[in-house]
Amino acid sequence: MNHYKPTDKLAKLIHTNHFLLPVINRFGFRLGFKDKTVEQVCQEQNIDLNFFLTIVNTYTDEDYFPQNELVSFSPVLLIDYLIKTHEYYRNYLFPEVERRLERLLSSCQGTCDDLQLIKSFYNKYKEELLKHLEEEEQNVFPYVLALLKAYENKQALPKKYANYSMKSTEPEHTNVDQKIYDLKNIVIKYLEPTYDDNDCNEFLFAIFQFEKDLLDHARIEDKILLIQVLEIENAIQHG
Amino acid sequence: MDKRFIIIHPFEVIRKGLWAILRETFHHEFILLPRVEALKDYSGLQQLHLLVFLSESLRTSENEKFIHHLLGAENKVQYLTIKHLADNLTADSIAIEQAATIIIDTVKCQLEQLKPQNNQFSDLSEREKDVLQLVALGHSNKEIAEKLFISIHTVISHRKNITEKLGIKSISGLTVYAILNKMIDTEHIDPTSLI
Repeated sequence: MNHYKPTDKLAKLIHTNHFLLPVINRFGFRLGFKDKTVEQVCQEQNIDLNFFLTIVNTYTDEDYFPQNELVSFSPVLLIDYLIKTHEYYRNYLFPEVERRLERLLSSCQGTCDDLQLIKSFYNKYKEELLKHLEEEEQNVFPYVLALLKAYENKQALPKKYANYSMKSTEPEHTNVDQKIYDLKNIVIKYLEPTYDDNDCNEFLFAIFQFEKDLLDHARIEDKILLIQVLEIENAIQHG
Repeated sequence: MDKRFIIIHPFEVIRKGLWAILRETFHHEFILLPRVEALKDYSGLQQLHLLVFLSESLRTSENEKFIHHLLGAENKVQYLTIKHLADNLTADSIAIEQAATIIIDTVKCQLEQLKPQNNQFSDLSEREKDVLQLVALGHSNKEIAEKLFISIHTVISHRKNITEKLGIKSISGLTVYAILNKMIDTEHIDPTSLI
């Protein structure tokens, strides 16, 4: 697979993978970029070029693994980006999925127990995902920032992090990833179609997008953030 | 599900000949036996698709009953008859006078039929339905093993198969499936409390 380069036009990125729209928004890029290249917009908005390319390439190619020299950007940028994705889930994706689910429910004819069950499943899932996001915001990210600060200033880690390590702190992604897949698959394979087809499609589109974004989120954490932090942990231990 | 090929024929030359032809295409384990009774040594087999090749003289309902009793509860068993002549062949028989390629094609066709159909509830075995029901009710593997008088290992195998067949991995997802398919008495249990 061809990966995006600094000289690619930003418009090309969107034409080839429109799922990147919310991703570029997280960097503060808005539409109307004419023929500007990735390099140009990053320069204008003061965004680290390697960081931007790593994110869009990871999002587009599931097997993309950035070369070492490209991961030289600060974990602070990553954390900032991840927090923005959390906001995107809370402020946009959750409410959007729910709007579409309500619409689907109101299109239901006859007894709608099965759809209500899907709604319960979704609510439980949402609860779990919110807990996961909170856990990252309250424990994982502050730990990484403290670790980084200690490393850069050659200081000791604050006492409360004495027994922390990235591997023990980062919550598992597998479970939340599985559930959203199951939710989608149950609707596709096993739900009796007592609803309006278009409303159901809209609901599924939102779930597909959500799933894609979450998988990418997990990849960024597992393949990039984790690697960076393990290196710093290692350096501190052996420093 | 893993497969085993079991070739039961009184003639060694046929057992070994068939084995030599099949193993080039089918990379499964083979068991070669002269008599049906010798299967007793393999009563521990479980969670397998067994493709049993029986010589024409051994393909009796008595022998099938014996094999079913020995291995049928924990495995999926399918038979192929080994005939001498290619006259009046049925879909589940091969003949030693046939070319190797034809024998292989017949076996391939039979294996296709063994593949689980992924989208139908009826494809869960009775045992798998029992396990799924207990999973949905929130029981642990250990509890399920005790209730059904099977080993934890078997429970785990059943769960793996259920997940493969249904394409649902999480416990809440399996619970939703069980409720949708009326495997849980929702009159007395609030379904949302289970998810």
